[in-house]
Amino acid sequence: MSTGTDGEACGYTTVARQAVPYRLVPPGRPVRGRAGDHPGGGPGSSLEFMDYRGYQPGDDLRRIDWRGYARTDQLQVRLYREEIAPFVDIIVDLSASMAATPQKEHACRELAVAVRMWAGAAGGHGRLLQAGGGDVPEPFEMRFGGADRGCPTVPLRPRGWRVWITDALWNDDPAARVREIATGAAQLDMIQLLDPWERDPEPGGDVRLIDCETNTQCELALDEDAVARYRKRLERLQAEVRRAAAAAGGRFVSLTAGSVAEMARDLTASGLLEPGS
Amino acid sequence: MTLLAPTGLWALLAIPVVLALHLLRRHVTERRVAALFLFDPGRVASPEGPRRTRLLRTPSLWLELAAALLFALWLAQPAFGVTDPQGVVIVLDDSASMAAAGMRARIEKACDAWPATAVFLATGMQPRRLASIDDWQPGQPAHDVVPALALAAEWAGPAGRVVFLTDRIPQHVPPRCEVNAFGQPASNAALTDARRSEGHVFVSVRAWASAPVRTTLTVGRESRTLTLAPGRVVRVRLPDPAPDRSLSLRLSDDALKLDNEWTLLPDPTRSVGVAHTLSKADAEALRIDAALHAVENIAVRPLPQARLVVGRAPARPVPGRWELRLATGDGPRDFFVAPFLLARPESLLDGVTLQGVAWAAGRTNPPGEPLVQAGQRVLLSRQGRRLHLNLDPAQSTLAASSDWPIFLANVVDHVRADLPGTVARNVLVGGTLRYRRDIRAPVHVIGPDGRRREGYGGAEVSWSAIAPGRWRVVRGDKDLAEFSVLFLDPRESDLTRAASGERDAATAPRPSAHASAAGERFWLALVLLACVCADWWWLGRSARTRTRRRAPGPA
Repeated sequence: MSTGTDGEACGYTTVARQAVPYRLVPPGRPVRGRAGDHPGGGPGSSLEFMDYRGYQPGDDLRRIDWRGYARTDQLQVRLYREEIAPFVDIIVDLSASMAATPQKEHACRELAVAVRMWAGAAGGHGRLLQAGGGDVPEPFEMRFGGADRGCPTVPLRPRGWRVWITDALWNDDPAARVREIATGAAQLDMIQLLDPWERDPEPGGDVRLIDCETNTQCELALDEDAVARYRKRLERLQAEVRRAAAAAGGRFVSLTAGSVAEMARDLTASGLLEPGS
Repeated sequence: MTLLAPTGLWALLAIPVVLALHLLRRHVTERRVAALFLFDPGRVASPEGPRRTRLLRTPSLWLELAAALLFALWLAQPAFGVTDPQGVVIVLDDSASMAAAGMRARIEKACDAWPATAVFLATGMQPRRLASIDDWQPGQPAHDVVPALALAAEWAGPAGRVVFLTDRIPQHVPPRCEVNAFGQPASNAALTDARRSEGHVFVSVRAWASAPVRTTLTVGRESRTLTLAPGRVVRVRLPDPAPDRSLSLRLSDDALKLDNEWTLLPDPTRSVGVAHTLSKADAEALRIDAALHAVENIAVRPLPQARLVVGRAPARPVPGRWELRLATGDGPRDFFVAPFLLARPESLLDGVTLQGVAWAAGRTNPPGEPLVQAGQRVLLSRQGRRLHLNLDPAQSTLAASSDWPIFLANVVDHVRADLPGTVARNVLVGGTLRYRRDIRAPVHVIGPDGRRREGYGGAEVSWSAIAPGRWRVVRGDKDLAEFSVLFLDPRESDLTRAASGERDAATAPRPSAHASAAGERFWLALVLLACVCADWWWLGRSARTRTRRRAPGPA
């Protein structure tokens, strides 16, 4: 594991120790991938029977159902389900807002690595991509900054499994962003990562708020009323994102930045993770 | 601790200013957030500007308060171990020669070199502290400056300095005293005497110079040019234009104006009102009318207005009235022939011998203090303002002797001296202004400097004539009398001996207050600098912490 932009260390061993007991819950729909252990959506060479189809020249004669030929006088070929290692594209939002606090930045780093481990534990073949950028080369040097730039510049693998780690704090239409990422994917899992103060700010006097990405400043009297309004707006935004994810056939989970173990528990509770073998 | 510049404590006003700044400071916490749009933009904090907030007891507040306090102390120049706040006492020679032309400018220039905390003390018969150099008006006759220098040494304390500013180097000064002389030799003429007599004014003028001096004497409206040889007195007689009015004498301006101008006031008449209640026989026997006629400056008055009553029967007591009573009685008489026993010294009997006088006296001694006795018989006694004359004028020869009008004149002089008012209106500087009051109400004198001085004493009050010019005696706002104080002091008028120079103190003072204050100011400045640096570091650290925090992180 590399050091981050501010030099904080994110140890592999720490993340691995806390991530090992879990794995991602595979999507119910078939996904594409390399040969592996996970049942794919198409015919393959596994022992699991999937269907029959008419014989075509060139088919393996060993797959012909001779008994059926005897009954129906038609040549039928047995199809078996393929076993694959699903493609898992882990898209990490490395915009400045994900590093709004050291805790959030640290949690983002650990969560990205952990998701990649959990994807591997689920038999998938994961890769880390930067939103609006390319691959995050190992040893996963993540540099936060700039605005949220959406889809990675490298092509996403079609009918793959996509996990999107972002804070989903967008001031525009969430559905468009979700559609952009979800297009061509077999499954989209959105993990919203929020700092504890972002999720539940505490009232307290005058405060000068600085937007991480635009550096726009605003001075507010952060009283109970202002906090209540903030929560209301946040809940409305989360509902929109959840609705957009559901419309794309994906799942949406909101996490509070914490340790890998804490985030794993929350993901397990939401059904995105399951205890591994 | 002593503050050499207490006015520096005004800087303590910076403390409430610091408190106000901290009270009014907007304590805005800076936070970096991911989604500013989620906050209500309409709720802008404190749109009307700074408001009073709770005072945060931050290290910055304490450091700034400490810095303000230290700065005030630094300005106030604290000095530890100095018992007297007056580090430098400047003693100004208050004699008249210091009023010479150009002297004041030289003295003021010299005083500018001393710190503002210096204390000014004027010499004189009564050394006095001056609020500033502006109060210094030299005009006194020659006097001993040592008492003033000794007083200055006490004020300065063991660590202080005493600086004596004069116009010549004195022979003897206390060892602690530094002397700075600024005198410059000059020619000078002065009035040395003036008398009014029989319609004329007799004026004496003298010059102190190395060469003859020409000057113009102006008496009233008449002027006369005089050539004065050095050291010689020139006497001039001029007609007195109005003997009963004040007369101005003036010499042309020279190096010292103070001794060039006199104003002679006419002496008060002080006529004594006399009345007698004697019978015709007694009056003729005593020849009272002839005797009183021989006495100068009296006037026969009706009994109620008389200050002296001669009679046999007791007169109604009136305050201030004198009484000469024939206290012989109706009994048998005894006869005595001089010599008698006269009480000496007794001013009532000045010039009285009673040689050859035959005295017929009653056998009852009068009360009071005996003045004239014949054996055990009291012939004349005094009981306060009442004189008892044990005399049978018809059988005595006193009235026929020359002692009788002399005695009456002595009595009248006593009565005159007892009259309210002034006796001498023209007084030389350094003399005493005397005023006899008729009632025991406070009287004041207002000198040429405009100061009002209360008079002390019984019936007669007096003041020191410490400066030449007009002095007025007042009771409340009412003018009672006036004096003319004339400057006459050849030692001060002689400016040829004026000299300049310096003489250091024979014994140096102990480490001075200035030296002590310098050390303490250095340390104060050091601590003050440390406070400022610490505050700067703290504020910078706070700013860096806020920047690094970016947003409200976990507690």
